Amino acid sequence: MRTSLTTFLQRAALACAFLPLAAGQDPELLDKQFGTLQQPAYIKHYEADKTGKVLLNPYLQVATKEYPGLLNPKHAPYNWVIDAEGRVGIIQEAAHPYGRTYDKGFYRPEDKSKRKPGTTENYGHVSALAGGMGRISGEILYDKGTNSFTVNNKSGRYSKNNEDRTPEQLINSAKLIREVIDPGSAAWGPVYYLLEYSPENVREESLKRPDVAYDDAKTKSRPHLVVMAAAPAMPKVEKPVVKADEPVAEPKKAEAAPKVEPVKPKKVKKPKAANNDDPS
Amino acid sequence: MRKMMLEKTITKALGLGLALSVGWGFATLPLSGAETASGVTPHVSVLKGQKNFFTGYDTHNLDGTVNVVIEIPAGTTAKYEVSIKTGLIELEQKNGAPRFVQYLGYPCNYGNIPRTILLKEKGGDGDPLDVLVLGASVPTGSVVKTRPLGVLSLIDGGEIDDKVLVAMENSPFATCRSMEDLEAKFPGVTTILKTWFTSYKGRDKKGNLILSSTGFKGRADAIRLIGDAALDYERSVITEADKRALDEKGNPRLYRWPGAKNLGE
Repeated sequence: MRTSLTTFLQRAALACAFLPLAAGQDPELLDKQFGTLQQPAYIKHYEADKTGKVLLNPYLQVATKEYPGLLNPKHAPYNWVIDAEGRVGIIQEAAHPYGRTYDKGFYRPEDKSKRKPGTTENYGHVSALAGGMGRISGEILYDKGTNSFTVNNKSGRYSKNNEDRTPEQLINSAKLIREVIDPGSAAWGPVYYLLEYSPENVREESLKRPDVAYDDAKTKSRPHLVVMAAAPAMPKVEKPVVKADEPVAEPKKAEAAPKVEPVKPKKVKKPKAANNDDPS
Repeated sequence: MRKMMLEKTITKALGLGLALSVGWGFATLPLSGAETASGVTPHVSVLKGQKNFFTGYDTHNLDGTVNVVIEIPAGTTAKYEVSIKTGLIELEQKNGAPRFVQYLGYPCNYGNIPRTILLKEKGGDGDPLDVLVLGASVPTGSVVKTRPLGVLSLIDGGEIDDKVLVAMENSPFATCRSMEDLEAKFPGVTTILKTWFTSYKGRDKKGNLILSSTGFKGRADAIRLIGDAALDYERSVITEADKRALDEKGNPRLYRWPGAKNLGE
């Protein structure tokens, strides 16, 4: 009996040893590319029901090459997270059914932060994985001025408080995001590595870099590095101002030419590196 | 064989009344009473699943697929539907008689997404979100993984009656990513669906089709519709009493979750 059990286990082990790993699914490679699998830093009080089950986001998309995700500027901001298998989970920040809106603000014990009056408790990053383990994560924000989606590493659950959430891992994630998510009529904007969500050693080194940027240079708020430039925009076909067969009227010589006000270039606001101060 | 005999016995013993298939799965379900070999036409037919078909399954899975409870298998005509009161699948009744579609069998599997609702106050019918499932015919009560492709916009008697179109996992249609993709890879499918769903209820007294359609919307609309209906369901069942109590100052209490690092401690 014991012999047959041993034989069975040996055969099973042998069979497992020859199980081919799917392309790109090598756990060690995924750890290197997107950070090691980590438990979320915390689960907020409203994110789990009374049985302890963390609710999945109702707008969840899990983007892969086979089944790409879709973005819509109307539904931004989105949260993203790289899961155990290297897929990109994308969710919208809807109000959580177990959450509340606090007219006077509140103190959140999980991250010891004071929240502003009117704060609503939304679905967070953990709702993409039902509270499960995840790799590096962040936000996808829409910038109206440039009609583009920017990507950052802002996540208090899966990015912050971890040792290996490096700029390289964010670059790898952003490349994957651009590959498996369709931004629709928008373009891909820059990728921001937020130093407040990076490991301490990376933050210390990065703050010394000459290219460190801030949302507000005066107050030095939200220090970050632009780790990837905006993706080149698709070439737009310019419409001819005047149709070829349309006669162009000659200006009357007798009349004085009207004064033409110099056209002021439109001020395009620099996109913010993050949505708000809530680490999600 | 023995189960079939037992089923017939029960169905007859109940005077063609109740053929309740408690815990027996699909085998005991008279799929189409009028077409059974025995000639038995049950007035009422109910299927009980392992879980409540309305509330027992999640809307989504971790891989991003959407669960669908199959009510009407492709090719059949019996109008089975999930009861939101009992969580069972019941043969729809109309004027005291079981309802069968008086038309060709359904061109695809038909079902709904668990834990979703189209709220009446938002113009819905108060039922879960209806879904058309592309793939091989599967039995009533099956819960299948699907991916959304689009939405068939239907108008029934002036009311919006949209149906989400999904592709069943591991089916030939699972390779489709969008409505355009579906049209390119499987020409005619959208035409068949639109024709069937606008025709099966027949014409009104004026000779117009009772159901009309403005065509298909894309995948983004399907994702939105599913999300809205799922969120509306959760909000409709969760009360203030279900939420965790706040502390005396009105702040949340620290929540310790077994699978988290719980850094706030």
